[in-house]
Amino acid sequence: MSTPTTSSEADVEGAKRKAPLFLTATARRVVPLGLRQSIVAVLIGVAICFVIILVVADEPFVAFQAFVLGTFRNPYSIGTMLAIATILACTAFASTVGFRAGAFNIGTEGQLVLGGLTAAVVAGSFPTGGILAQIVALLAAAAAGALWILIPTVLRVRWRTNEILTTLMANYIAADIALFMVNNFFRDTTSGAVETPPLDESVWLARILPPSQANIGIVIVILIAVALWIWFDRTRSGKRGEVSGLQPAFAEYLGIRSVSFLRNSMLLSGALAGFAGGLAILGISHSYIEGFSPQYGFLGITVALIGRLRPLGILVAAALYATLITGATAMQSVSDVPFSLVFVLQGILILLITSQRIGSRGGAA
Amino acid sequence: MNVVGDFLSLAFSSTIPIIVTALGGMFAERARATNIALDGTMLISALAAIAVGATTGSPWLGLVGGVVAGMAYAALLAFAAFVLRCDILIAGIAANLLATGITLLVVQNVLQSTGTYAPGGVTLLPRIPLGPLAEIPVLGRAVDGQSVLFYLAIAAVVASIITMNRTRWGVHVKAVGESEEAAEAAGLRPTLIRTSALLVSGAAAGIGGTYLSMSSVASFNSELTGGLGFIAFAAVIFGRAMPGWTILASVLFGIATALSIQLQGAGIIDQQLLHSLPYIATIVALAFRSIREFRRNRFDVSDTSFLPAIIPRG
Repeated sequence: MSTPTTSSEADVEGAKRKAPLFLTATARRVVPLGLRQSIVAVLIGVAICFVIILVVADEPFVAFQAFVLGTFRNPYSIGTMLAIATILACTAFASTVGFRAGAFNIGTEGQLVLGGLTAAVVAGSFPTGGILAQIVALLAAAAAGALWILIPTVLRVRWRTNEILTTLMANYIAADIALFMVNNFFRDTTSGAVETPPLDESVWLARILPPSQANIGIVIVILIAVALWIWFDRTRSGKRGEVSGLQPAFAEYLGIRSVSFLRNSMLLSGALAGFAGGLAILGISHSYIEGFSPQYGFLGITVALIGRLRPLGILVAAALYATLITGATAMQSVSDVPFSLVFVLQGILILLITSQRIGSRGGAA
Repeated sequence: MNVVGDFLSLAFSSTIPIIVTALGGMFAERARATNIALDGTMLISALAAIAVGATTGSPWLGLVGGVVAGMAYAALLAFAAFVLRCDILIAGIAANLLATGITLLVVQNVLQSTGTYAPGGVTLLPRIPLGPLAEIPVLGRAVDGQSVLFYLAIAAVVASIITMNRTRWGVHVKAVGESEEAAEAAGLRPTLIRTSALLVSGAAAGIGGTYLSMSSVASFNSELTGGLGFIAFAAVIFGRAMPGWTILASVLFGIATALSIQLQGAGIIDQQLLHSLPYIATIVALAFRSIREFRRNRFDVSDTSFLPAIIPRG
């Protein structure tokens, strides 16, 4: 009896039949259909949230207004929004780089947590303060992120082990490891919470809208966006990557090593996620605190999908989503609707945006 | 001998939620409709079960509530996969995220609890005393006072073996999983069969979730499952979605869980590192599977290709 093909192989089934065995790269799993789908999905998602608010809130309109417009109450919350958007854009770039190569790195959350911890430890123990310490800490964070995706990458590239499942599991392991490391080695003994000692102010990323949390990380992220745009659209390797991601077997016949593109993309994806963790620590929380990330990694996937895997689109989507997050915080304070509405919205948005039916041209495909 | 009996008792009670959920997930996996949302489904069911149990005062209605909620959640996954045509793995991940969000929202807002929901007046699912049979050495002690779901789990084990190998539906599930085209040509409707397999997995995860919230302590928080759904999923992958192997894998994971509880109690290994064990086990299971599959394919010459069949491919 032949063995049943399980999920781990289901997605590579097509590749297995057509492509030679050495070819372990597979075509993109997620192909966003168009701008229309993003807009429709966001509108439906927010509409569903409105319905939920109608059902659960005592004063639904106050709550909904805070959710959508709460960010623009004052400059401080706009700054908070920008700070969050910075991190979201960075994790979304991480997801995008993976998606484009045909890999779904869902482990950005774990890479971000370990990157953040690394940044906190490196920045905290670096002999000098200032810019140098910031750069070293951020690079260390990126390295930690890349290291954390190494095993899933090797398994994926060498044996086609489904990277979705391995990176997903790696998230949970990363959370446990981070907690273990902080508790046993790096804990701030004067604090009751699980956190590392607060960082010296000289290693904080410079603020651009004091007293809010917005910081120069936003400039770094815009630079990354430009770099990615140039790479995707204006260089030979970007175009080769495009071919590898869409048609790995065809790319091989053209003489493009789609497998090594996949490997490098996954590592870069992990590095970007780790880097985002560093930005969050040096820019926002200024020490590693357990739960410093309100699921930035998972939210980044949603943002990447809304932004249709395009650098500019992601910047817009990150600002949009950060607005909703800040709005949810405002909503929580003025009404009885809890912040967790954001997580509900996130699940709904992923479903709507990866749908191959909603918003496609000509309605039902 | 009491030590062995007590450990077995713990191992049995740790295995129940894993094995029931895994057996359901097995059918979905076998129909190639991977249900990675088992964990989220368990979470939703656990909350539904305890809420229904607290409202009605009956644990049995709670169990029904959990199963219905599990099936409804699996129906959502089927809707996303077959109507919205999302990738089923991504839809499953979204469903897991959604489950956390929904349970947090419901517990905080609707049930007005902060974090943990522990209603008073919940009747737990009964535990079955063995009476005189408890005097049997070791085994008597292990089985005495197990939850009624222990017996349901045993029934599920038998039923799943029979269903998979001896019923029309089981054969259809296998057919759809092995070749969609062939199944379609034979007049089967793959989407219908996959949806039904997903519903079965949802119902099973519903029982598993109910066990978590209604068998020993009646309380709920959004971390209740502790990744048990993923352990069950790992058991399915490890067992290659075949009943015998899945059952074996579930029992092994159950024993491992019991062992880790014992070790935590003894304080030998750090609790946090033990906590990550199921996730590591899943990665190892996946790697093991894919390496085996890869090796197998390397020498698989049955596919038509321009190579003479005598030459190993790759």
